Amino acid sequence: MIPTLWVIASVAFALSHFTEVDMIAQKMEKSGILLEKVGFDYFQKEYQILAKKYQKDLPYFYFAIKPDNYPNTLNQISTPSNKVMARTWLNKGYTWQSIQTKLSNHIIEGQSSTDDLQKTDFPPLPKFYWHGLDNQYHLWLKQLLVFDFGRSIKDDRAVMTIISEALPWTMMMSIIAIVIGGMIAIPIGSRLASTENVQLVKIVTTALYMVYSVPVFWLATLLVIFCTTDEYGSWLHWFPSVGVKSGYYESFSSRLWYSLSHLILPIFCLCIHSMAYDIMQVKTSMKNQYSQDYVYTALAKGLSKDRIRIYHVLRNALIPIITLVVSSLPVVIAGSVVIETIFNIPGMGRLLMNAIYSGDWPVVYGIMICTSFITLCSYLLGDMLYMWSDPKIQLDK
Amino acid sequence: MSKPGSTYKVSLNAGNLRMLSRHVMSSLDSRVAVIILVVFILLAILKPFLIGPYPIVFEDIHGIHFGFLLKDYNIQAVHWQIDHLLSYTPYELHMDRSLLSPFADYDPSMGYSRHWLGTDIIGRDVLSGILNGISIAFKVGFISSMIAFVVGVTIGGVGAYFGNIDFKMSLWSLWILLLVGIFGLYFAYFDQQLSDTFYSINQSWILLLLGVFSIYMIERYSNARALAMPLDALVVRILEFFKSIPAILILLVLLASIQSKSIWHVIFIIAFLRWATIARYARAEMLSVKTLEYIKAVKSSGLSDWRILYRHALPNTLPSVIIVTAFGVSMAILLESTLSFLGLGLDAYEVTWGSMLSEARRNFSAWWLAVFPGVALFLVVASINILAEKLNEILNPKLKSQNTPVD
Repeated sequence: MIPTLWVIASVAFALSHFTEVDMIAQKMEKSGILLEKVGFDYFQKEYQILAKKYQKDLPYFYFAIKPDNYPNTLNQISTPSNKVMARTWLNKGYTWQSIQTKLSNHIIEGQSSTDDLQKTDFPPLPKFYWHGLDNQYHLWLKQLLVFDFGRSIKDDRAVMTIISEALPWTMMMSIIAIVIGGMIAIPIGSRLASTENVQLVKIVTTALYMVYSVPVFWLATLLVIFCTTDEYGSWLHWFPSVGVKSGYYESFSSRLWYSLSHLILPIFCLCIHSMAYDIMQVKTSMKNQYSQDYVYTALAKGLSKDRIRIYHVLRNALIPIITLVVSSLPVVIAGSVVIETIFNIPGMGRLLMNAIYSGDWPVVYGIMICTSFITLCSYLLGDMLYMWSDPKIQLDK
Repeated sequence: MSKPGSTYKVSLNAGNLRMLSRHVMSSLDSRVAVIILVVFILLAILKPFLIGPYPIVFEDIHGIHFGFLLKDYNIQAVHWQIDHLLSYTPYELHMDRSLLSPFADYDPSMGYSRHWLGTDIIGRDVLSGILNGISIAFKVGFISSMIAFVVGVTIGGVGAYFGNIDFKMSLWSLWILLLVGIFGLYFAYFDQQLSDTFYSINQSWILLLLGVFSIYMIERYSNARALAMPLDALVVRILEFFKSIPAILILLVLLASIQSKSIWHVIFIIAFLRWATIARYARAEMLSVKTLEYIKAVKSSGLSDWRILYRHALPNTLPSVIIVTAFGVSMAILLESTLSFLGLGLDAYEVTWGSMLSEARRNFSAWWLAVFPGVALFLVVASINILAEKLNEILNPKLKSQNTPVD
């Protein structure tokens, strides 16, 4: 599990640097420091101060293989446009000294000539640069070990705080949805598998496929349009409007109680889609068990159908059911993005969408790493549950 | 699934197709599903005849032109024309007719053609938007599933077939691979332009070609001692990595970081997410197909490994992979709609079912924007799911024993 986590953290790091997003420039834009307004010298100084504060002027990785004429790191150049120009000139083979002197004057992009740059004596060959421990990747890993995901760009709060504010809503909704789904799906699925009324089973299976094919966001949009406002007649206005009453809640139970009426529709939408799939899976796996010999033996012994269904067949059919439960655990943390956006619930899904819309990438990568961590833990939990349900399964190392 | 010693081959001949069609025609739900799907596919194919900015065929002072072949064309002095069946394109704006209900009052004297399913807030016709969405949905669904199918079956099948000890490369080829990899990436990343015409990225292409050619020559003609590559372990690690990434997050992050998106970006990203599932099924199937007697027989007859893979081993792994791909098509269509709904799919300019639903959410009173695209989406997804389930009942031998009482 640890190697996979490390790879995912590295992928998040790589993504955050290969997407063309310059966090410092965005931050300066948000606080109103633009190049046209404040002049080049002030802009450069501010950029350098911010870069030093967020430690963005360090090299990316422990080592690098670069051509001869590159400096130790290009991240110490102050403005992003300067960085692009420096890279183009370096690739053409000019010395770093001459480029540096040229860049210290304010350059308007596209208007500079390369006459005053010197070429290197010899075409640049690859060279191995060693950066040591003082680089962004090492800092990223160090911060991850203490669960520090950085600070959000929008309001400079720690990402961990933002995530921990949004998490209770999502967990509340998802846990209720999973429990209700399980309590309904397992009895219905097992009864469907054990019944002899083939026509009923066919009709119910087809109906379940219909329900499974309904797009969740369509159902949610229809419910929001028709059932939460007065537009189509107040006789349809069963549910309060979207959103939850946010604010300070004393405890988990008071939060749940006051927002319960707002949560009925989202939980219903969450349940319906997964319930259809769950019932079909339970029915399939139990049908596989029913064709085995021990069922005949049990019937011949005189056990009642109910007892066979619950105490013998269901226990043997647990493995796909455990897979289902385990694969719905990441939803507990990651939330359902679409449902939370539609019903405007301040959970992890809506946090992710807002962060993406506003370009708040530290939050996005923080959520990604949290969710991956929980997904891996849930697979581990699933393995242990498999071992509990079927003693013949052992961890093979 | 198949016992060792049995011959089990899936082939597409008349007998199998007849069995499939008989099974499909035997129940009402799949008959309806086939009809619905055929209607939608016809609508997608006939889209140039139904909607479009220029008439289907018209004669101009310059000659006869077909409307769907033209891009930017100034129509002058038309002699005659054959118009489309519907008079609107999905992209035409009519600001004076925004949010028109399908039940609004209409008579032909109003000067415009009737909007059968209403308009949205900037006056785009809903019916033509739905037709546009059909072609986008089918394109995204089928093409991304095909790409995921090809890539997944290849990687999963090859990994399982060669196992950990059967794939051998000599040490020379390994070194060449390593050097070409490192220097190719180096020259491609640092695109040095050291003279007016010489770009170093060309060096990396030359290096790649040289490397591939030399590896082929070495493998074919030298008798050097060969090392076993643990291909299966590598494939398993990659698949495990893909399984543990939360799909939604990678999807959203990748899509949000690309500035200008075309439909091919969406197709490739959806295929990128789906291929790992298909590869897992293909690998599991191949592990059991490998033990069949007749694969051993074919191996001993001297065919090369790749030919055995392509003609004998891989076709036998296809049953459960096809089922997963069939369900994957409907999942891809749903995914594309979800992405457009969230605003992260195609450009906002394109009209597709998801974008119409997100507009419905913004304008509560426009129920026609929510109901009609959603019904279309539901019909397509439900039909594909039902047909995939029928395919599942035929191809999956575990279910066969339950559903065919007298066969």
